Amino acid sequence: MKLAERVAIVTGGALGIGKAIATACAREGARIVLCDIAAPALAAAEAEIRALGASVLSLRVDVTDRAQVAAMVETVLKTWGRVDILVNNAGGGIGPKGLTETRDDEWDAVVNLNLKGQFLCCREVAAAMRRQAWGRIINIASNAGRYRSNTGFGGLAYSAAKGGVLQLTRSVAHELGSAGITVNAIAPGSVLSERGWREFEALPVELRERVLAETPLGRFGRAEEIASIAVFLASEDASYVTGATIVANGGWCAA
Amino acid sequence: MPELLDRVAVVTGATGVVGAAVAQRFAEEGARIVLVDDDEAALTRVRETLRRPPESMDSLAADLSSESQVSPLVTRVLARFGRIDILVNAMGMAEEPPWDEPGPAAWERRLRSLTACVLCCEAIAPEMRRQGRGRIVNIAAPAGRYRSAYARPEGVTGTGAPSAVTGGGVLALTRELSLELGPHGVTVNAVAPGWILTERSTREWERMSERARRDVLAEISLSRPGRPGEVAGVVLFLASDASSYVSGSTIDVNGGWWMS
Repeated sequence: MKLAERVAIVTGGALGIGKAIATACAREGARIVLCDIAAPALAAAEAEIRALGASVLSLRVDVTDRAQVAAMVETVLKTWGRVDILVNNAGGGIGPKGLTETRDDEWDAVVNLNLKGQFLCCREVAAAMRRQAWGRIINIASNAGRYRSNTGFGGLAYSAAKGGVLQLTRSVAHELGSAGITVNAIAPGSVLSERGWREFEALPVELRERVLAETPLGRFGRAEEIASIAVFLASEDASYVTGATIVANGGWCAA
Repeated sequence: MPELLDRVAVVTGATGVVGAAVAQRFAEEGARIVLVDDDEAALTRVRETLRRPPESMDSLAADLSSESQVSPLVTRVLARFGRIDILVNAMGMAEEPPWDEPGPAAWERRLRSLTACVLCCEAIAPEMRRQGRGRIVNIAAPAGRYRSAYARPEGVTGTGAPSAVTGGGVLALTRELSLELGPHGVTVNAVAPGWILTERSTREWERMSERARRDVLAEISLSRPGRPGEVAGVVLFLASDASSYVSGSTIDVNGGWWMS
């Protein structure tokens, strides 16, 4: 088991990619802290991961709220005494809104959720990871923040915030590296999670087909295929990888 | 459960420390391994350290920059194991010319290693296409992704350009092949190592001034050089099922030196 006894926080862990990451980490022996704002989904995910025999602590947390993030970390430390892995997964867009369609409040909400939330979580776990002289932070970015959105679905604010996540990753990686903490990002392309499916089905057929034709692997990704990357980054196999972005887009854009 | 159980992996540049570390890691994960390099004696040494049963292991001394020696390799692996699941081209880290090697010799040697990488990919890709799956992992020379990390000390002649150009060539090859082979279930990715402890980098380190060493360490986020096994861990990821939606990518394994 690659993550035996590690304590892993997964934000946005109740559904989709987050749930897949929490599940994959649990299968590798980690103790899971499942954070989300969606209470019913959170309870269901907790039960599912517990059924694998894993220890799970589930917490309702709004990652855009500093006090809630601080309280979350405090609870984890009180429960398990350490935080080994943080997966900043909570995020989301508001649909395909471009420059002129994006309202100020929408911009703020999207940037808060996708970028500020990750900043707050990084900041609040840093002290514990420094004490341990070991830590792994994995930030979920997006193909849309690395290159451009392949479907346009996430919208302008989402792409910009995810670009910010990549830069947050590099800066925090350099700041925490000498303490034995690695910080990396995953930039997924189109992934057919629950939400991804809904978005996919809302796409015009022509666009759907074009994106698939432009993707060398000829298909969209599965949440499990992002989760396996997170496990890699959290494991000893990635001990000399930091500040890096792993792009998982089926080859849609390669650079 | 071993991650590469019974997978057949060809590792070129297998006698360099990184190639040997990849072979070691693959062996631990249950792969059947074919080691290739041009130095028979060194191949034997690596083979012995792996301690794998003979039915899971083969090695071949060949100059892979020559097409006439590449196709016999493929024939032999198929005759022996019936398939090729993974190709790791590690010559990017195996054939580092020494700092002092004169330009023309360095160019020739480096270009030959790029040719070898191209020829191996081209020779093995058709087999992977037939299988409908495969993994190609190319390890680029460090200067291929970013410029060299440190300048040569005073008095050292030679140029880093051959490494940079051929390493960059390996990365371009990787991207292009990912487009061609993706529809056939074959992923093609690259690893871009930074400062890894090899015999050559250790020799270079010894020649550097105290000041230069301090500067280098200060630039690396993790404040240390990498071990060959740490490159092998990333190669394993790219060769395993865990990276099934990753193709055309380059993963930096540099401890957070340069980032992009």
